[in-house]
Amino acid sequence: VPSLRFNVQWIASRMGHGLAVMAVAFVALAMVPRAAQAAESQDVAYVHSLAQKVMDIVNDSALSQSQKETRLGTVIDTNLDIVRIAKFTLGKYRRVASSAEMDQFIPLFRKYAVGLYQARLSQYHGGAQFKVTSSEARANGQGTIVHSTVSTGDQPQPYNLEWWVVDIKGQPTIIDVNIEGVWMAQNLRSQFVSVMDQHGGKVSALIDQLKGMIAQQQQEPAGTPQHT
Amino acid sequence: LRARPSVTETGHGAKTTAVGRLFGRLAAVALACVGLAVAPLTASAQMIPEGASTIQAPPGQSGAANDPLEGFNRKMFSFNLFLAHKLLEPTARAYRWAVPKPGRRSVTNFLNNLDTPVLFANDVLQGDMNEAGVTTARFLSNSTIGVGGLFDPAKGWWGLDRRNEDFGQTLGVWGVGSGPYLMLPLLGPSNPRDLTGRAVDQAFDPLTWTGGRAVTYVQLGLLATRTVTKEEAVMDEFNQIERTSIDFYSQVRSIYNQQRASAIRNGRADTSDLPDLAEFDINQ
Repeated sequence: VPSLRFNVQWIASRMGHGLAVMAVAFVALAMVPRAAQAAESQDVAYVHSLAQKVMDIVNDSALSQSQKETRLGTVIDTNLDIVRIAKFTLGKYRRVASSAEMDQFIPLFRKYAVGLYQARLSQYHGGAQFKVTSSEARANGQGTIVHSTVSTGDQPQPYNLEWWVVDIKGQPTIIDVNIEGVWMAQNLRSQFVSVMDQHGGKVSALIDQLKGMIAQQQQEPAGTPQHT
Repeated sequence: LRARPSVTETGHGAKTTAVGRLFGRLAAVALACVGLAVAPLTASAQMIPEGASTIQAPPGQSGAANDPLEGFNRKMFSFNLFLAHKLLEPTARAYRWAVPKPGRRSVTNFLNNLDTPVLFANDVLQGDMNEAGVTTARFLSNSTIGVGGLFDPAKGWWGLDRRNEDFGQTLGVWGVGSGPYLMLPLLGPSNPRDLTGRAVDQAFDPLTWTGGRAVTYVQLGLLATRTVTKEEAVMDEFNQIERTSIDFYSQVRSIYNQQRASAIRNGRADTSDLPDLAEFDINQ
């Protein structure tokens, strides 16, 4: 029967199309996670090498405190996207900051934030061990979270350390670091917004406070020895 | 809280006075909590910060904290800080001077071991039977081989780490939101969920249900020791954070909120609630 034959052909061709579409979809699906996985493992490798650099400095007993701080400063500065983080920490006030204020704020933020990390990191006196425990690729291209721990001899529990890595123009870059459950960029944003809230939304008030903090950082040695 | 009376009601008539006492204490704890929660609400109705800017931001992009009682909270924070620096810290320094490190560790181990009922109850309520087993194993070994909890062979020999659990976290696991931030006098940072948790944890502690003046003294002693040992453990870090903070009040608020969220996830950083990369000027 011709009509039946026609139908069969038609169905077959539809099925053929369907299969082709499915095949394309499968290949695409298979490739997307693979691409994501590649990015994820690249990000993990990046965190590994960065942490190794930091550990090498921290664990080097031949270096003086100030030498450690200088070297740590360079490593932090070149691996964290300070400008983006700085803008983020202004929160809702970012849109009201004038470009002159931005030009003042970003270098001050750099000094303050780098100083914070220097102070914390330079306190560890050797014997620190770093381990990547796991990683997760976030949905919708929101980067990779690398979970890691740092053990130091004098702490009963290892520190939990998370890194939020994002590829910017093909280069893995750190957007935020979580120390023991606290995301640093979010933490700074909450403080900065609060300062500006209390001063009628003036970015200049925050700039003044940052200047004060930096002056204080430079006065006292960053790494106050811990008593035990 | 509602489940508690039905449990005690299974007690027999001879225990009427005991049951009455249980209810009395429960009521007292509940009242205290309600009082603590309501007082700031009424006190700070007129204290909502005035200088706050009118700048509006899209939801989730402001960096604003859920802190409607900030005016009151800041006052309480100054009060607590004053006490911490003038009273608590000198006491903790004296303790550090007087008791060498191994001794201090044993005190902490001992107090941790006493927390077992609270930990166990919350492990179970969170449906984490594996952790409930760890808590039990730790208690059994540390109470015996560990000489009444003074040592921690469970961790040292078998690698069984202690994980802190409380009913505030349990509520979080059940999906209860934290509510607004609260700075409580003496008790420190909290929120309605964690404050409720404190009261319920108190109910999980068998000492709460043991009568007698002697027990009350023991409880007060334990409370004082806990406070001093905790202060001793955190004061250096705390002081350093205070020195390096732009705004110490919001620093502590941010740390508290984030660490509680992380504790609910058993120490894993909260990665579900991260800001969008667009906020970092990154367009994917």
